[in-house]
Amino acid sequence: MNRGKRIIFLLIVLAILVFSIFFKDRLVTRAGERGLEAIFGAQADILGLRFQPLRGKISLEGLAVTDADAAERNLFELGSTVIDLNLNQLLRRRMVLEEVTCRGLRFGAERMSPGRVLETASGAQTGAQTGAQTGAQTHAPERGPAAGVLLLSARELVADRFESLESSVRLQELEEILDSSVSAWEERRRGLEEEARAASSAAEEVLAIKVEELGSPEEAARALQTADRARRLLKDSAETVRQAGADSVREKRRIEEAFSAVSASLTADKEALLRLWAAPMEEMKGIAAVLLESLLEPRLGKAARYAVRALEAASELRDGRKNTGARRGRGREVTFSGSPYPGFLLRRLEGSLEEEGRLVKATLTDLSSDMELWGRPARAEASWRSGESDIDLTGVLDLRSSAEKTLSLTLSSSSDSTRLDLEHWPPLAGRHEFESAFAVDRQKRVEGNLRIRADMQVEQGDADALRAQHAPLGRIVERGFAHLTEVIVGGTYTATPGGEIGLKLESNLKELLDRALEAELEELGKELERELAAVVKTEEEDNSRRLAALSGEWQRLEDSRTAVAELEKALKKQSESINNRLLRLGGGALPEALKQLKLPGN
Amino acid sequence: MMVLKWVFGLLRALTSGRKPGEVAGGAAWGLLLALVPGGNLLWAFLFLLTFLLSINVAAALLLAAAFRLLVPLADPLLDRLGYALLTLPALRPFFARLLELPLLNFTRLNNTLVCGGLAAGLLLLGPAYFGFRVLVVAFQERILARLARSRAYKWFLKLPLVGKLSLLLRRLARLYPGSV
Repeated sequence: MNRGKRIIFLLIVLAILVFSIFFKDRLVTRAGERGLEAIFGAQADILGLRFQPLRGKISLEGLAVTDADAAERNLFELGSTVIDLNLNQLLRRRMVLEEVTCRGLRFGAERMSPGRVLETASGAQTGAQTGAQTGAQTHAPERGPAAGVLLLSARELVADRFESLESSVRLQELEEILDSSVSAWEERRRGLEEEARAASSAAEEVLAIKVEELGSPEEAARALQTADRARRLLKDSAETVRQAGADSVREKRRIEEAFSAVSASLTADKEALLRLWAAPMEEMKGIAAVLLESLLEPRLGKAARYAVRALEAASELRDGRKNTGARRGRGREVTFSGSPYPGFLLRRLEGSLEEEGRLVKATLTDLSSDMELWGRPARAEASWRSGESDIDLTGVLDLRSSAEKTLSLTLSSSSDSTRLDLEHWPPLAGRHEFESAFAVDRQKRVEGNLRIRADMQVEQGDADALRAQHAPLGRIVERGFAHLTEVIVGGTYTATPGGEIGLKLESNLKELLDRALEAELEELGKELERELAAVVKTEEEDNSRRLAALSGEWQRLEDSRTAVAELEKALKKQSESINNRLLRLGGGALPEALKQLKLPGN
Repeated sequence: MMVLKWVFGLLRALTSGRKPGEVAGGAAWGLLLALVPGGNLLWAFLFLLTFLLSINVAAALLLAAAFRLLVPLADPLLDRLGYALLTLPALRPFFARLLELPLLNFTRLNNTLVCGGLAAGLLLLGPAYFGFRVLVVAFQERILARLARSRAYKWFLKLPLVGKLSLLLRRLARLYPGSV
C-alpha cells in the first residue's frame, strides 16, 4: 500500500470517527425528526437529544410535533424522556428498549411560531375525518358539524314520499263507493221489504180462499178481484227485485274494480316505499359521519384521531417499503430465527399525561415484534383520574399457551361527569369498552379486529323528546342514534413475523359505522317490508270479507226473486181454480167478469 | 483534484506498460463494488478494502461508477441468486450464526440483492481479473503504439493545457513519490 492510499484510508476512517463523536446527536436528532415528520405530516422538533452509545442511552429534553391541521399548535409534546437501549443487541441490529420513561405529555399546546406542514399532510388524514367533513358539508355547509344533526327532519324525510302514495287515495275512493252502495242497498231493501210484505199478505189472502166454498158468482168475482190485486202487487214486487238486482250487479262490478285498484296501488306503494328506503340510508350515513367527529373530538381529543393517523401512516410507510421489490433495487429480506431476541422489544414503558386536571399514567411491559420469543405475558396498565371520573385499564396478553390467543381489554367509566353535550342534542352519559380478538396461524401471522365501543345513554325524558321530535320515523331515528352512541371506532390489524415492527393496524371507522347503519337500516327496511305486506294482506282480507258480505246480500236478492216467482205461480193456479168455480156456478155475469179479469195465460 | 489524479494515474498505468495486473485487479474489484448495493456495512468494508489492496484504485472506483449504471438491469437475476442462497437449507445455519455476530447484521447480508451481488461479484472476480488483464495488455501492446503515432495524439500533446497539467503532475510525483 503506497502513501497516497494510506492517506485516503486514514482520512475516511477519521471522517467516520469525527461524525460519530461530534455529530452523532445531530444525526440521531435529524433521523428522529424525519421519522416523526413522515408519520405525522408536519414539522417535528426534538430538543436536547443526547445519544450515549457506550452507555446505550438516549435522553431528550423535549419533543414537539406540529398539528397538521393547525400549524400554530402542537399535536403533542413530550417532556424529558430517557430511553435505555440494549447496546449488545443494537450491535446486532435489534432495537431492544430496556426502559423508556417519558414525562409531561401534552396535547394541543400553542407553538412559539407556526410549524411547517408537509404537502402530504392533508392526504394523510383519516378517512373518518374526511368522511365527517364531507357529511358536514353535505348537510350543513354553513352551521358547522353539529348542525348537520339538526337537519334530520324525519317528517320531511317521508312527507313527500307519503304524498306520492296512491293507496290512501284508492282506499278513500273505495270507502266512498262502499258507503254509497251500502246506503243505496239499505234504502232499496227497505222498499223491497214493504212491497214484499204487502204482496205476500195479499197473495196469502188469495191462497187462503177455499174455492169449493165459493157459493155465488158474486163471491167468485170478489175473490178474482182480490187475486187480481195480489197479482199486481206481486208484479210490482218482482219488478222492484229485478231493478235492485240490476243495480247490485252494476255496484258489484264497481266495487270489484275499486278493490282491484286498491290492491294494485298497495303493491305499487309497497315497492315504492322499499325503493325509497335507500335515500334515508344515505342521509343517516352522513349524520353518522358528523356524529362520529362530534363524539370523537370532545371525548377523546385529537389524540385518538391522530393516533389512528399515525398508525395509518406507519402502515403506509411499512407497506411502501415492503412493496418496493427487486426492480427498485431494494431486494427482499430473509429472516433467520434462532436469536433469543426479537427485532423489536420494549421491555418497559412508563409515561404520564397531565391535561386539564386529568392525570393519566400508563405502563406497558414486554411489547415485542416477535411473539415466538415473548417470554411472559405483555401487560398494560393505565389509570385516569379526572375529578369525579376514574378510569382504570388493565390488559394482559399471554401468548405462551397453545390455546387460541385472545386479548380483551375493558375500559369503563360510569361517572355522570363523562357526559357529552352536543348542541341541540340530548346529553349523553355512558362508558367505553375496548375489545380486541385475534388469531395466530401457523405462519405466525396475526389477524385480529379492534373495536372501541362507547355505550352512551340517552336519558329517558330526552329519548321521549327525541322520538316525538322525529316522528313518524322516531323509532328509526332512535335506533340509528343508538348505533351511533354504541359504535365509535373499529378496525383490524395484522402482524407478520420478521417485520421491523411486526404490527399493522388498519382503521376503518367510517366503514364500520356505515356497515352498522346499513345493517340497522336493512333490518328496518325488512321490517318495513313486513309491515307493508301485513297492511296489504289485512286490506285484501278486509275487502274480501266485505265483498263476501255483499255477495250474501245479493244472494238474498236472488232468493227473493225466486220466492216471488213461486208465489206468482201459486197465485196463478189459485186464480184458475176460482175462475173454474165461477164458470161452474154460471151466471150472466161471466163474460163481464172474464172481461174484468185479465187472468194470466189469457 | 483527487479524481483528476486517479484519472491520470489510470492513464499513466495504462500507457506505461507496467503493472497490467493492478489495473485488471482494480477493474475486477470495481465490478464487485458495483454489484453490491450501497448503504450497508458490507459495502463500506469493501470500499475501505479498496485502499488496502494492491490494486489500481482509480480503475476500481471509475469502473465501479461505470458499472453501477448497468447493475440495475441485473437486479432481478441478483435477487433470484441471493434468494436461492439465503434459502438454501444447508446454508441457513451458517447465515443464522453469521448474522448473530455483532455488527454483521448491519451488512444486510440477509437481503437478497446484497447477498446475490456479493456472490456474483466474488464469482466474477477471477474471470473479470483475467479478462481485464488480457484487455489491458492488448491495449498496451497494440492500440497504444498506433495511438502514439497518430496525428490526433500529437496534436493533443501540443495543447498548452496538457503541457501545464503534465508539469503539475511531475511536480506532484516529486513531492509525493508513489502517489501518482
